[in-house]
Amino acid sequence: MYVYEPYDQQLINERVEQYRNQTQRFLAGELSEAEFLPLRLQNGLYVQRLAPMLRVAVPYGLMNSAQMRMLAKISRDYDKGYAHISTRQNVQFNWPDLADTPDILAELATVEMHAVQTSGNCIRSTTSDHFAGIAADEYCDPRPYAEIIRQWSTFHPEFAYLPRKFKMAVCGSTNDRAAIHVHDIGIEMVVKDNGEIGYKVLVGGGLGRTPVIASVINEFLPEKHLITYLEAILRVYNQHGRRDNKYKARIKILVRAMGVEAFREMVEAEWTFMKDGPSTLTQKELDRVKACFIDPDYADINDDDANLNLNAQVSSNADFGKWLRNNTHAHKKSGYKAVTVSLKKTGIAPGDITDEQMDAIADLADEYSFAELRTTHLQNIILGDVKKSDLFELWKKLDALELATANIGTLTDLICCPGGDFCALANAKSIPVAEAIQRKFDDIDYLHDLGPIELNISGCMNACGHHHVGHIGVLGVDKKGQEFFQISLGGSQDKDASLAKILGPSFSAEAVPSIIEKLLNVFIKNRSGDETFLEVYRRVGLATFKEAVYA
Amino acid sequence: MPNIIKDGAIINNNWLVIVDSEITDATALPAGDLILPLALWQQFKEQLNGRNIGLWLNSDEAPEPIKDNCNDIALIAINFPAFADGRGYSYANVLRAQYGYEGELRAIGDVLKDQLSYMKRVGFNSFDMRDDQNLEQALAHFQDFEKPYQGAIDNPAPLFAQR
Repeated sequence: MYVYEPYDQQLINERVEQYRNQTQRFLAGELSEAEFLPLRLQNGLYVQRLAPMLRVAVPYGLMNSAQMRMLAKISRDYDKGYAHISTRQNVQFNWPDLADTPDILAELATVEMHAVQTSGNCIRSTTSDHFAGIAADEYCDPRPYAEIIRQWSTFHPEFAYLPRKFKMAVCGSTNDRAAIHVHDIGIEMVVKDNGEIGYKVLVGGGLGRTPVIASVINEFLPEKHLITYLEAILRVYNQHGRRDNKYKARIKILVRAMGVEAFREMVEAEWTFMKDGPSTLTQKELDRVKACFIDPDYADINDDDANLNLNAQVSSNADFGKWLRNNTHAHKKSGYKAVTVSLKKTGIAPGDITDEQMDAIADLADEYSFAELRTTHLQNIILGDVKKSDLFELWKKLDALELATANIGTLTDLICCPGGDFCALANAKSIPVAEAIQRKFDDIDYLHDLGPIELNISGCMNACGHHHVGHIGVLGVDKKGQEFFQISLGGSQDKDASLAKILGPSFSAEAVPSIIEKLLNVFIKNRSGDETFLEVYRRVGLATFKEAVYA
Repeated sequence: MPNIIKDGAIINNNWLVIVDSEITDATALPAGDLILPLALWQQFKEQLNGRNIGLWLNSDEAPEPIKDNCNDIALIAINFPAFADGRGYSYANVLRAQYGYEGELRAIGDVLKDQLSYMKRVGFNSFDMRDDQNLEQALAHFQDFEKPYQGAIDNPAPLFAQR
């Protein structure tokens, strides 16, 4: 992973001191609430329903075991002994004191971490594929580019007061696990037949109140032009994005209003002033950053032998078999697998993790996975490089930590925002609904037979739970002070991205699990062979599901 | 008039900002160095030839109309009606990098300490700060970051190109 040079560390240290000064002036009454607001937001600090919330950046989801231990320490020393993995691969603390936040950021800085631009109307921390660098279907490692974007966007002087937040994601594999079609800018790595690297650039995607699938603005942008081109897009947006209405201020609204052709022309015109200029990436810089993401020291392992051994372990332990089937993933290197540590145990808020679990996962990363781990936008943690021969032992240890629920990729590996239990924006409490669904569907074999289903729950239309792109989406709505839940079907965040369609009138929280059951029954009845839920939905259409539910 | 910060020092301000864009007669304007609204400047620039006249752009006025003759203008100011309205940062960049403006570029309006380092990086060199801001204290805020990552107007070479 990227390791700080002295100047990276200096910048982060300077940021801590800048924020410490700002916080002191705020607490002394020298800075007004309104003046402090964007400053604290751009240092990750929200004020929520019950307490401030600090969102720590995990750039493109990658961290090392020392960083994980620091997060555990912070949750113990400054919070209530747990943290939350967000849908943007970041880590959130729900109970810090505002006055403590400069000290928290200073501690984070000692392990090359920060909370820079994790919120506010600026370029947010960039996300990527949680299997980057290890996926069998990857053709270009997106991490060096995500890191280059991180550096360029960090403390960018021109884009700190944009019309609205601005999110980017990078992907370099056949399957899109970074949801690039629903970002303000999505970047798909392209490698031409002659080996030339570049980017397909998408713009204007997003969720929230007005979900939009992004449009292609550039089919092939050569590798060295990444920064200047992004800067051109941002400059157009910063000047022309709407500022009169925060619900119409995202770049998707501008692109839609202008039309993508006109928007592209404006960006191209802007770009001519910067193209090939000083910010053009040099081969030296590309090589330097890429060198941070070379393969770890993998062992040479015969895959057949490793598989034989695994099969023997599975035949003597069915629970291990279920976990192996659902919670481990193909790896580009023979004899290795990636392991998902499930943060989706029933009764625990999705994505929540205790300080003991964080410390233990850090130890497991040291022991089994080159001291690195990854956070996912599906709110789990991944140990990326585990030898197949270590899986059985690792499973037993994870199981003892209650981190081995074998539900990854299934219905109960659901995405859920913090909802009305924490968030001031929410219309409804999303976590109890998630738990009720997990309680109803607790048979791992049944879940596995259903195949991959993405169930996404948001407590309000701001869509932090990404309900628009869930195969099944659940949205909390407010009707005359009562919480109701609207269900939608057919969303996808993969390369075939689509937005879910609303099924019909909304339901009470208590009714949601049985409605999900009815939907699953329609799926099973219409399924042929190994069809997935999404495939069946796309074949039979919304009406079939609607009839069964509202009959 | 209250002092301003220019090129890193606190100096007397000789320029008066004319806010009223409804003035119809150039002779009604006060004496001295004036910063006129864009519309007035366009209207009176011939008549006021020989006087020290600058103009200010509001946050919804891109500098495009002065693209070709910006270097004939003694001073260009960009107004920040609210500090969180960030359009002025891009206008400053466009004036410097695309139109080649070399004169004084002044931030006016809701100009606060905590934004100074970014304003300087995008090309502002003078700052008429909000009345309640302490200018001596403000001077310390220009150098929040010694070596930023990205190129900008103050130093077009990004950090990676400087190594």
